[in-house]
Amino acid sequence: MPHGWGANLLMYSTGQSHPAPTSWSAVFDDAAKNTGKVTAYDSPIYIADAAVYLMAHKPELGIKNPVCAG
Amino acid sequence: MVGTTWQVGANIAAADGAKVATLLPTEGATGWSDTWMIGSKTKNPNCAYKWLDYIASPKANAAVARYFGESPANPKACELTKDKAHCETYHSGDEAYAKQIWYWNHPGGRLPGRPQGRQVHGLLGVDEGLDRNQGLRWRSSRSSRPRGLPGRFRRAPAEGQQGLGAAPPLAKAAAGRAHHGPRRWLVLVYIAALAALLITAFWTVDTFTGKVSTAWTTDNLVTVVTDPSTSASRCGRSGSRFAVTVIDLILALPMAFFIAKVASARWQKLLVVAVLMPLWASYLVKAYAWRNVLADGGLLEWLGAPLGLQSPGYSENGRDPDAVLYLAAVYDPADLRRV
Repeated sequence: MPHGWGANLLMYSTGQSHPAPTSWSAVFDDAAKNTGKVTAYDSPIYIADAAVYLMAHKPELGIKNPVCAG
Repeated sequence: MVGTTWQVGANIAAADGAKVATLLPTEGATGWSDTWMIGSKTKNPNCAYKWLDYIASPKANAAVARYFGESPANPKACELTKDKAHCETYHSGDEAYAKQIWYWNHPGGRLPGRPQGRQVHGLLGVDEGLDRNQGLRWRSSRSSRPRGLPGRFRRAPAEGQQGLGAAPPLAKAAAGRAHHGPRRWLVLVYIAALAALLITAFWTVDTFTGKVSTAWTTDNLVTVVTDPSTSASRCGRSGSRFAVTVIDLILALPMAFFIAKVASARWQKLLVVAVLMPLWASYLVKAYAWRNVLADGGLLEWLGAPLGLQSPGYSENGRDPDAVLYLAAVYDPADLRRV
């Protein structure tokens, strides 16, 4: 029986000079721009976040469902 | 700093004075729907259900949602949250928002050290994690729960079960009108049941109260085609469906041939009745019957134990081969007996 739901969001520090992120690229492809300041969820399921990102940016991988392998 | 978070984490950080903001990035996001489950071997199921009734109530759900920093599953909780903007902040009932979320689900199969479907009452299905819109759905454990059944038979029926429940009264009515021989009687009952099913396909079930709404809508049909959780694109499901169909065909065609061409007139009637009768039993009852046969410590295992055989077990996640068997057993309609 569900009691509630929510999304795994992207959080960032405000009030800094660089513009606010709009994409998960801030923690993946562009993580190098934020060296030492990127956090990742320490759980195997975090690979699904990478899959969400790749599904949007690398359609050639053919990911149809980022939370379901195979 | 930049990284993934739950809204509640951002709230706590902000309350501690950190200057942070959150967003749902353009790609969408993974997400979660947290649930209560009851252990299938609990000694106090009534107590557990009382707890569920309490914790699912609007007032308690509002308090949980506030503490947890989540969108409450019970929409009625939104009127009772301490922070009146809570449900807005957490996008309750915001379908466009919910559609951008890919819900975490368990990987399926049997992994050591992880609770299996068979170890919990899947009150609403342990595989709900695949259901992308589940955050917007609410199925009460109280309204649709059969009362007075032994613990392991208790279970909220799957969506649509209420719709199926509409068939028997109509079928009975049709039977009452028919006086023109058994064949006509059978056809009438059968067509009436199918017609009732067709009609209920255009009805919906209020996901909160479990009541059937008879307003005409094509929502169900649209959902079947478009919702990834029900469409063929749902992982693992399309294969199971195909396998179930094939197994049913393999079972039903020889049965139909035997009944129509081989059996004596007397046996023909008996067999047709034997094939039809299970159709009138609830799918729920059939599912549980097979579950008891296939489960750990079930009939099959008991029979096979002296021979050193094990039950294949059952699974509801629709990916295991044994789940296909199970579904085929439940859904074998033998509809083709008259071919």
